[in-house]
Amino acid sequence: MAKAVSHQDRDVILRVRDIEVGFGTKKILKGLDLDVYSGEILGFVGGSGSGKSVLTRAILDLVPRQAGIIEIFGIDYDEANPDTKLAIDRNIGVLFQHGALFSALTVKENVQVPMREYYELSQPLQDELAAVKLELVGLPLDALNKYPSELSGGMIKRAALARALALDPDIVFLDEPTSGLDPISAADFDELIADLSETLGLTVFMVTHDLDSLQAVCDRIAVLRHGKVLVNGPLSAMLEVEDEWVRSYFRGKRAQLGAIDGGHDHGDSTKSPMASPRPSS
Amino acid sequence: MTANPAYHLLMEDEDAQPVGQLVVTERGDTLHLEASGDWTLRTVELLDGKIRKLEEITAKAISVDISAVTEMDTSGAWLIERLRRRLLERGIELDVAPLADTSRGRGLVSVLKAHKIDVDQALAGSPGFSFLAPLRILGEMTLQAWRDFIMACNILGACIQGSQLKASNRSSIRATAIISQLDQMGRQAVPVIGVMSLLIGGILAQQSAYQLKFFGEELLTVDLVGILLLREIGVLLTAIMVAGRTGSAITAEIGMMKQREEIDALQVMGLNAVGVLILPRLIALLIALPILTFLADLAGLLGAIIVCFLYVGITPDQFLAAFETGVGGEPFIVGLVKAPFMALVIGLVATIEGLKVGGSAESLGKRTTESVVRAIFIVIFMDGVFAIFFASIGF
Repeated sequence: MAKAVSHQDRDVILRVRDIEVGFGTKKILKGLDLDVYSGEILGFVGGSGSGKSVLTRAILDLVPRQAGIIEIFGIDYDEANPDTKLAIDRNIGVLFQHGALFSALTVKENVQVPMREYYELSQPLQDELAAVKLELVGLPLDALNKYPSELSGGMIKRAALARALALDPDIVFLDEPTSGLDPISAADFDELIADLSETLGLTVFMVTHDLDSLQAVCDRIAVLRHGKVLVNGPLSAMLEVEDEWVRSYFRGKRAQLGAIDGGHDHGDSTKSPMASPRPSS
Repeated sequence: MTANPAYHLLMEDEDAQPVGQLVVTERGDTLHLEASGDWTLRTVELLDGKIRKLEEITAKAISVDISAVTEMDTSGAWLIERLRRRLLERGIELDVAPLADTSRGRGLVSVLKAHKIDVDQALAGSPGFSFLAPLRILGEMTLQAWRDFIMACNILGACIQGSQLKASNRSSIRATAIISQLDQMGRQAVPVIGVMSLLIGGILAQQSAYQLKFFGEELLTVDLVGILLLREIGVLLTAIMVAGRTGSAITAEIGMMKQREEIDALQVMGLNAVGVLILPRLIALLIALPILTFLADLAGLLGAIIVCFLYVGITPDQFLAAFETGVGGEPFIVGLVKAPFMALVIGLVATIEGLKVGGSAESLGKRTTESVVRAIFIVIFMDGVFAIFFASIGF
C-alpha cells in the first residue's frame, strides 16, 4: 500500500468547498474545505460530536446544508440532472456505522438489492455475483442465506461492505468501519479495505477513531476541528501539529499503547509506528 | 493516471456506451475468444448467455484475449473466471491473456482466480413443495398454540407470584406506571370509543325501529337495543377497539424493547421484566376496559335515545320507562362481567406476541398484526363461550 503522497498530479474525485451545516442556531460545520483524491484511502478523524458523521451525511445529501459546493466525479451534485444524479449514486457505496442491512432480507438479497434495482440480470447470475462479493469481503458462504439478526457484528460489517460494493462503485464511504470489532477482526477489516482499494481501484473515505486503522491503511489523514479541516496529510504530519486536541489524539495514552501493540499487529511495520511514520512514497 | 471510468460513464449517454462483445474464431483445434467493449453489470446479462454456451464446448485448447476490454467490473471478471472453472472441470485449460493486467478491472480476473467461490451454495434454494407441507404447517400451528397457552399461564403466574421477587424495597405494584398506562389506554381512548358507541347505538335503534314499525311495536326497540347493546355489542366493540389501539401498542413497545436489549438490561439490573413492564399494563387494562365499557354503554344508549326520539318519536321519558321495565340492570352486569376477562386476554396476547419479536423490522410488524388479530379472535370466541355460560346459569 505504498502510494504517492504528492497529489498534484492526481484526480480529485470529491471536492468539498465552504460547507456550512447547522442545526437550529448551532453551527456544526463552518466553511469546511476538503479534497479526496482518486484511489486514495482518506482517514477522517475528529472528537466525538465534532461533526464527522454530519459531514459524511452532508456529502451524501442526507442532511441539508446551508452553504457550500460538493463536486463529485467533477460534477456539482446540486446542479446535476436526475439521470446524472442516478449515475453518481450508482458510483457511490456507503457502509453505515451499524451496517443498515435490511433486516427482512437475507444477506444474499441485501447484496442483490442494488443490482436488481439498477440492472436486468437473471437470478442465477445475481446469485453468483452475490457469492463473488461475499467471497471478496471474506464472508463464509453459508452466510448467504442468513438474516442480519443471525450475524455477528463483524459479519454484519462485512455483509454491509459487500452490499456497498455491489455495483462496483468508484468511491466508498465508511462510517467507523472497525468500531465494535475486536482488534484482530479490526486489523483484518483494515487489510480487507486496503486490498479492495487496490484490486478494485476504490477511493475510500473513512471516518474512524481507530488509530491502528489510520496507521495501517490510510494514505492521508484529515482532522476535523472547530467545524473545519484543521490539518490534512500523512500520519507523520499529524505528529508535528501544535494543536492540543491533535497532540493528545496522536500522542496520548491510547496512541502510546497502540504504538507498543501496533508493532506486531501489522506485518508491514516492525518499528514503533508513532516514532517512525510510514515512508511517504 | 487515465481518466476515471466513472467520468465517461457520467458524460455519455447510456446507449452510446460500448456494449460487451465476444468474438469466437476457430483455428484448427484451438478456439480463440476475443473480448471487447464494456464488461460491466450493464452488459453482462447479454454476455452471460454466450459464455454459458461456451462452457459446453469441446475443444483442445481455448484462449481468451481481454486486452480490448474497455471497462471491466467484478461481474465481467466473474464471467471469464466462471468459464475458466467450468472448462477446467472438464479438463480444458482456458488461457486468459493478459492475466496480470494492471489496469483497473482487468486485473480482477486474476483476483477472482485466487478465491474459492462456491456457486452451488449461492444457488441453493428453498426446499420444494411437498404434499405434506400443509400437514406440517397445521402441526406447527397446533404446537405453537399450545406453547402460547403455556406462556400465557407463565406470564399470569409470574404476575401473581414473581413480580415482587426483586431486590428493591419498593412495592411490587408500581402506582405511577399504572396511572400513566391508564391515561394512555383509558382516558385517551374515551373520545373514540364514545363516538363509536354513540353511532352504533343510533344505528341499532334505527334498524330495529324500522323493522318493528311493521308490527306496530316501535317501543320494543328499547328492549332490543338495550339488551343487545349492554350484553354484547358495547363490551365487544370496546374490547376490539382496545385490542387494536392498546394491544398493538403493547406488542410494539415490548417488541422494540426486546430488540434493543432493554428487557435484558432490566433483567441484569435485578429488576423483574414482568413486574416492571407487563404487570402495570395488565392492571391498567383490567381497570380501563370495564370503565370504557361502562362509558360505551352510556354513549350507546344515548345514541339510541336520540334516534328513537327523532326517528320514531319515542320521547326520552318513554324510553327510560320502557328500559326500566324491559331491560333492567341484568344485561348491564353481564356485559361488565365479561370486560376484565377480555382485558386479560388482550394484555396477555399482546405481551406474548411482543416477547416473540425477533431481530428484524418485519418480525416486529408481523407480531403486532398477529397480536391484534389473535386478540380480536379470542375476544369474540370468549364472548360466545360467555353467552353459553350465562344461558346455562339462566342469567
